[in-house]
Amino acid sequence: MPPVLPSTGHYDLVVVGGGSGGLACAKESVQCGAKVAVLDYVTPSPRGSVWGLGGTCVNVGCIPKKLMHQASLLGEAIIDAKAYGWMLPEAVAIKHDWQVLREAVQNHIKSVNWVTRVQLRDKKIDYYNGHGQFLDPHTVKVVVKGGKEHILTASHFVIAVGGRPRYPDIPGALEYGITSDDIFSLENAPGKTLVVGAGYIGLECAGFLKGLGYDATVMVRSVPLRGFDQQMAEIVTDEMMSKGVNFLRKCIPLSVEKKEDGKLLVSWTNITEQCTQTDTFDTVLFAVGRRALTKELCVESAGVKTVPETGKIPAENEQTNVKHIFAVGDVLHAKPELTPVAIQAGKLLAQRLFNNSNEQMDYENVATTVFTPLEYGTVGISEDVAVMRYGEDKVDVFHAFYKPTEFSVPQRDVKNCYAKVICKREDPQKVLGMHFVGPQAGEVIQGFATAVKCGLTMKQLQSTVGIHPTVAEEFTRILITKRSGVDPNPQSCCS
Amino acid sequence: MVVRREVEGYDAFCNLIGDLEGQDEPVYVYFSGSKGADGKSWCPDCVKAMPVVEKALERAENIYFVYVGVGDRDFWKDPKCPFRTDKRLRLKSVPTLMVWGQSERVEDTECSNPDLVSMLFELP
Repeated sequence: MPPVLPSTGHYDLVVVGGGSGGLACAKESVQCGAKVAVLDYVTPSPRGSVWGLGGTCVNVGCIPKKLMHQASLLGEAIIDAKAYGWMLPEAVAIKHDWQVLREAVQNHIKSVNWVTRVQLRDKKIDYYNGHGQFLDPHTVKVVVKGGKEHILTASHFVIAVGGRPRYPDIPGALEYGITSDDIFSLENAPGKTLVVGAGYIGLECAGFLKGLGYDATVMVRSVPLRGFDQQMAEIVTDEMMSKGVNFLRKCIPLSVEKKEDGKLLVSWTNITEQCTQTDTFDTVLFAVGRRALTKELCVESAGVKTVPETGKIPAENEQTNVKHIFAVGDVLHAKPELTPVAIQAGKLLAQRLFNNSNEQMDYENVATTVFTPLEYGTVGISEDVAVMRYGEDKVDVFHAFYKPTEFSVPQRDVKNCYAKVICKREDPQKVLGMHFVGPQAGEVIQGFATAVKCGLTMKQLQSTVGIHPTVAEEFTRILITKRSGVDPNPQSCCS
Repeated sequence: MVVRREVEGYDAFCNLIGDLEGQDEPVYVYFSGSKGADGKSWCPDCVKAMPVVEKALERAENIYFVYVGVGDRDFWKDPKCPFRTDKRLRLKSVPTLMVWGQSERVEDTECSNPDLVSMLFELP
């Protein structure tokens, strides 16, 4: 749709990509008095899924994921409720309706798409719903619906095109597989599902699908949650296994075939047993990584360099090798692919470009949470990285298993409720990383992230008075180091 | 062509919207504070918005436009007002202009912004 506002075609800033980072940068730039255009376009997924303005997070990422995770947690809560005295039908009689959930989630997304468009219009940002391509370092061509072309020139560009899921190069993957681009708008209930890939997206999808009552299997090539603390990753997957999610370890998919009855026959190599195995599924979801959409944007026409393997853009302080072209968000090389990171970087960039600011984005100590059935929240570095970076005798690891009070009545398994703090061994024992597996991990870790950013020490953490009874207070009473060999299992409630 | 309807109050609205639900053409519903004896709404934002909405309607084609008076100020301000509690509506403010059965709506002072109102009419 062409913008209603008259446009001279020349802008102070053209933002390519209307996701979290691009929109934040555009809005902040307008606030600083700049004339701004935003381009946003969604190429349909191989399965035909499309969505509106707002990028991955709103449409096919954090938001629908969190809502489906919540749906899954409510299922657990229903079971717990009986132990608390609620009179409910037998567990087998409690059914979940996929269509209701999907529609509710999609309606929420559509209302966010709309509000985003209203904001752009309200702030007088020109919005082009079309595919953008660099013609030269100062010109972008955008093709909108109906084939109409607009030529836009700008003094500055921000590349915020983000990424899309990759498919493995095996027969049947593109034809029959789906990805996180499709799952949240899937017309029919997914049924028995194979999730290929054990990164956070794969684990989260398998987790909520199992929680909603579907048979879920995760195929792991190397290790789950690569890049995350590996002890925590094992705890998270162990909890998923006890909830009934199947794991195929050290397996690599070979092919997907559609059988006459519509079911999908998947073959894979089991590396450990050195054999080929097969099973049938209703749905195969690939979560094997994402690639940046820089090729589609023809960044080479602008002279912008990318990393060949990933298509990502190496940048210093969000500036590419072309000095008036910047990049924020998932398209950045070696930066966390997280919405709040993109937003923060986008805002700060706008302030530097149009308001004489010199504040740079700090990519260190960014907290995040994996929304697996039992959530995993983390800030700072993993134990693995700490040991590698400082040496084993230079770091201490404080840890504890704990019992959430609310788990006691329904007698929920607490064996995977675990927290650990990694700190330097020498005084003042600066905290390097905090890790938490348990309910509401995101809510728990957010506040501690501020503390870590302020240079939290172990002594300060241990002298903090907890809020009782919460799960977050566990961090204030972690006194046992791994080095001591003392049992980290919990004592009774108030001891 | 714009087919116009005007109703007063919640029950009348429910009846009309029930009748219109099978239509192929999009149904735009505009909720406003009811007009007093002087023909003016008690709600100043509604008074301000009406000419903006009228202007947008001049350019609209093949739609239904339903004007709904939500009642007097006291009726509307009640948190239990059915226009606020109806799950299909969940109105938070008057004026509100919405496309029936869809997520898109403009509310409050947005309704007197010609840009935003016309945007709602650009929807497919």
